[in-house]
Parts: sequence; structure tokens; C-alpha cells
Amino acid sequence: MTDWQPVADVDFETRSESVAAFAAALAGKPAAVASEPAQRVPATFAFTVLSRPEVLRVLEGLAADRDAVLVHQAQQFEYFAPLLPDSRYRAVIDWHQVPERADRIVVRARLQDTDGAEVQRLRAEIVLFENRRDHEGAPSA
Amino acid sequence: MTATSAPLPVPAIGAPLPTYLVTALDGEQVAAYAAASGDRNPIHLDEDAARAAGLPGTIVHGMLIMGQFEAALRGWRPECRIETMQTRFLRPLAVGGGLRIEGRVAKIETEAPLRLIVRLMVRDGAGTPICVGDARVGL
Repeated sequence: MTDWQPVADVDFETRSESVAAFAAALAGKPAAVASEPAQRVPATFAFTVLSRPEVLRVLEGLAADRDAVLVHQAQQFEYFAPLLPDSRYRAVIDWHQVPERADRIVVRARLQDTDGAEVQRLRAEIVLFENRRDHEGAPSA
Repeated sequence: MTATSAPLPVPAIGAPLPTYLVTALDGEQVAAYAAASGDRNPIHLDEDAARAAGLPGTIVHGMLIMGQFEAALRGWRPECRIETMQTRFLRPLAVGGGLRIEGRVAKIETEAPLRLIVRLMVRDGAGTPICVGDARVGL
């Protein structure tokens, strides 16, 4: 049984201007385009919740314990309902160690709407990458 | 009179998606993505920090690459309903590199409603695979 450790419960908003800036950055469009109203929340937008200070503090602490940097190895999304622009959600974030891989963790975020229904779930597999300049191999992403 | 378009044909297993090309993910786009996503990990933005981490230079965010999946899928079927997406990052992409996303229909999960598994492969400008993934989509 997976031993999930709590990271944070945070409010997560899909403000139009944030969504539009994110969509423009994905598309490589000029920043001016980001001022256009967001029609749809990009499928990967919810990943931004993992950049929240409450979350980074925990993840960077795990990396610091090993004198490592965080390297994204794999990513999954499950969509139960679309995220809507200009809406508020609750994100419940936790993590667990990958069994028998001391340098690897999985971080999970479950997004709930205001009724508590889960609308999206994401899981990031992250390597706590120690500097291996003198060895073979390099981070992936 | 209201114009209606004929439904698109049900794709066959093995049917390819149109190849989706990104000419270059340059430093400006990576910086814009870092700002918009909040992911300011210096391995994406700072050459010295990237080298200190054992990389030859700054690399593109994996999520900026994965974020192109949706455009590739919607370039094929604009109104598709994405139910899942997943990927595994195989190699880093240097900032400034381009990519090519190839896809094919791998499985028809259900016919009514139509639900497919699409396999995706991302290659860098030299044709080397940099990540693989799949998506379950409803049409």
C-alpha cells in the first residue's frame, strides 16, 4: 500500500489572465496575445499548482536532503471534468517515495471543485538528481 | 438554412495523426513559460546552473514539451475530449531545439461513445526520441 505523505491543501484559481499567459507561452505567441480572454484551460495548466511556494518548499527540501536537483521524469493527467476559466478549485497535494528507488518520488495533486467533486488528478514522477558530471547519464527534463 | 458538417470518419487502428512541428523552443519562449507556469527551476533558465547540475546547458521544461500534446491532438480532431494524457521524458531538449510530434491510433477502447488510445512520440530536430506518451480521447 502506498504511503502518501501530505504536502499541502491549497486554493487553485484559473484566472483568465493567468490561463491566457500560460496558453500563449505554450504556443510561443507574443505576450500581447495573453490579454485575449481564455476560451479553454490548457490540459496541462493544473501542473502549475506544483510551483506554489507551499509545495516547492517541501519538494526542494527533499532534494536538498540529497544535495540534488528536481528533475521531472514522467507525468500523468486524468480529467474527470474540464477546468473552467475564472473558477476556483481546491488542490490536495501529497507525495510518496518510489519503492526501492531512494532518488525517486511521485507527487500527486487532486483538484476538487467547490462541491468537493474531483475534476482532475495529476501525478509527477520526479528524480532527485545528484550532480553526476563525472558519471554517465543526464537529467531528462 | 443551417450548414452542418459531416462527422469525421472513425479512425482505424494504426491511423497516423498529422505530424505536429515546433520549429524551436527558444530562450524567450522558455522564459515566458517559466513565468506563466511558476516553474523557475534554474536548469531551464541559467546556463551556469544547468552546467552545475551536469547538463551541457539549459533545457526546455518537460511540461512545455508535454503541453504541445494538446495542440497535436486538437490539430487532428479539434473537438476531441481528452480524458487522460501521460508521458515519460527520455532525454532533455536543449533550449533552442525544435521538436516533432508523431502519433497514431493504437486502440479503440469503446465505439459508443467512441474512445481511442493515441500513442505519441516526440522527436528532437535530429529525429531522436525525447519523450513518449499516450492519451485517451473521446470523439
